[in-house]
Amino acid sequence: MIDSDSNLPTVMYSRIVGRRSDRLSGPRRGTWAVLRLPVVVGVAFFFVFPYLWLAGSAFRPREEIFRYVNPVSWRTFIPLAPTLDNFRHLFLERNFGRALANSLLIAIVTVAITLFIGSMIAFALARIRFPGREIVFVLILATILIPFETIMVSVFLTVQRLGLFDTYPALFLPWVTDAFIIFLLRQHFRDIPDELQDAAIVDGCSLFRVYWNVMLPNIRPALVSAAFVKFVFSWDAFLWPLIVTRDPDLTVVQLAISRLFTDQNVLWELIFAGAFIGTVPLIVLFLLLQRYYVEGVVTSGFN
Amino acid sequence: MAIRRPSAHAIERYRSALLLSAPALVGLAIFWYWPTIQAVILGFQDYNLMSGSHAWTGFENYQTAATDPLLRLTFLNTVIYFLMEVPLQMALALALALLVQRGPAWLRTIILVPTVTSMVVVSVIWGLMYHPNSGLINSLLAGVGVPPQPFLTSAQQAMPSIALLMIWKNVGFSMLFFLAGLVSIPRNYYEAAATDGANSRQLLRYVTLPLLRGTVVFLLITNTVTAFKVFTPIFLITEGGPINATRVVVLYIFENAFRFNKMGYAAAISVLLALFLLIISVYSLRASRAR
Repeated sequence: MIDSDSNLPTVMYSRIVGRRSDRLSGPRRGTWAVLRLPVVVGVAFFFVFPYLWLAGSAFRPREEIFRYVNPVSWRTFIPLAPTLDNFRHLFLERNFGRALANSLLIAIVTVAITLFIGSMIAFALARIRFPGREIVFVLILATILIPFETIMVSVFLTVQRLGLFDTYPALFLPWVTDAFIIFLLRQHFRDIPDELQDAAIVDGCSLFRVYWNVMLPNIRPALVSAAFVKFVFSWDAFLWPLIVTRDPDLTVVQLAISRLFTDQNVLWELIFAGAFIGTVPLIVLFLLLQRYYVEGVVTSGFN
Repeated sequence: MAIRRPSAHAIERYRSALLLSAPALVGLAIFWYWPTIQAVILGFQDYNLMSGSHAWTGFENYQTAATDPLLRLTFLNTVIYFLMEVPLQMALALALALLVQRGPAWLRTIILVPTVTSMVVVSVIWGLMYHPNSGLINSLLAGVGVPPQPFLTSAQQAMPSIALLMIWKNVGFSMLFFLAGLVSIPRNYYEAAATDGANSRQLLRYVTLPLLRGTVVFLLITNTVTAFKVFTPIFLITEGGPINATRVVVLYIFENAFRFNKMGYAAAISVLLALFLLIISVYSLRASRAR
C-alpha cells in the first residue's frame, strides 16, 4: 500500500507516472513490439471518440446532425459549417446560463465550506491529543460505509423538516461534511514535523493560530487536491438536486442537460451543445490540475 | 488517591479540539447519523409524504419486501449488472495500468478524462451513441461489417450496454489505484525473480498480482458498492426498461419514495441494501485478512 511519506502531490504523482524508463518491465520483444502501437491507438480511440463526436456535433446545425453519422469518416467528427446557433438557443431560450451559474455557485460554496470545516477537524484529529479522538475518527469513517443512496429518503425528509426543501442550502449543506476529504487532510497534517507545531506553541500561538497560520499553509497542495475532487463531485450532482428542487430557478447544470435528453421532443444538437458546455470547463481544469486530482483520488481512497 | 486533574494547558487543548471538531460533527449528525437512524425507523412505518401521516406498521414493509416479485427482480438485475461491470472493469483497469506504465503519458490522461466527466453527460452521450438508427456505434459497426444492433431497445442487450458505458467511465479510477499499487512494489523483487529466470508472464503471475492483492481487495469493495448504487444512466436512458430488464435497486427505491409515495417501503429497501453492502464489505475484508 501507499505509505504516507508524500506530502506534495508531485511526489505521489511522480511515483505513479514517473520513473518509466528505469522501471524493470521485462523486455517483451516480438509480438508485443508489433502490437503495441495498434493497442495504444485503439485504447486512445475508445476513450476519445465520444468526445470527438460530442464536440463536433455541438457546433453543427440541426440539418447536419445525422447526415455524416453513417458511414463514419472525418466528417462525422468535424462540422463543415460550424455554427454557434445551438449555444445561442440554450442560453436565450432554455435559461442554460442560470443553470451554469447555479452549479458554479453551489460548487464554490460547497468546496469552501467543506475545506474549512474539514480541515479544522482533520487538524484536531491529526495534531491534538484529546480524549475520545479515536471514537471521533471512527464515527467519521463510519459514514463511508453508508452510501448516500441508502439514506437519501431520510435525508430528504430531514431537509424538508428543516424547511430547506427547494432552497440553495439544500443543494450544498448535506455535502459539506465529507469523510473522504477529512481523511485526506488528516493524512497530510500528520506528515508535518512536530517541531513546527512545538515551535509555534512555544512562541505563544493558540492552537487555532497554529492551525490557521502554520499548518494550513503547509498542506496547500492537499487543499488544492481536495478542492478539485470536491468541485468535480459537486458539479456532477444529479440525483440529489433531482429530488430536492422543483423551482426552475434552482436548476443545476446536470438537471438542465438531463431535461434536454428526457424532453418529449429530443433535440440532439441541443444535447450535444449542453453536454459540451457542461464538460469542457471540467476537462480544462483537469488538464491543469491533473497531478492534484491523481493525488486526491489515490490518497482519500487509500489506506 | 487523588485523581490527577488535567492541567489548565490540557483543558485549553481539549477545548480547542472540541471547537475545531464541532462544525463537522454537527453536520454529520444532521445529515448522516440522524438520517441513518431515521431510515431504520421509517422502515417500520407507513409514511405518506402528502398528508404527513405516519403509522407504525411493524415488519409489514419487510414482509412486503420478502414477497415483492419486482423487488426480487430489481435485486437480481443489480447483481447481473455487478457481474457484468466489476470483473471486466477491474481486469481492464489492470491491463491499462500495465500499458500506461510504459506507454505515453497522454494515454493515462485520456483514460482519466471520463472520470471527471459527469455521469449525466456520459449517460446522454452514450444514450445517443447507442441509438439503433442514428447512433455512432452502429455506424462504426457497419464499417467493419457488423449488422445494426438494437442495444438499449432490446431486453437482452440493454444491461450489457449500460455496463459498457459504466466501464468506460469508471475504469480510469481503478487504473489509478493499480498504478499506485504497481509503484509500491519494490523493484528488487522483479530483479530477484528475473535473475532466477522468470519470464515476464511469470513476473506478472508470481510477483505483481500477489503484491497487488491489497489493491484488488480495496477496489473490489469500492467497485461493488458503486455497482450496487447504479442509478443515473438507467434512470436517464432506459428508465428500467425494456420490460424491466434494467430496473435496479436504487431506481426502485427512488420510484417508491418519490413516485409512488411509499416512503416507508423505500426506507425498508434502503436498509436491506445498506445491510447487504455492509456484510459484503466486512466479509471481503475478513476474507482477505484471513489468508
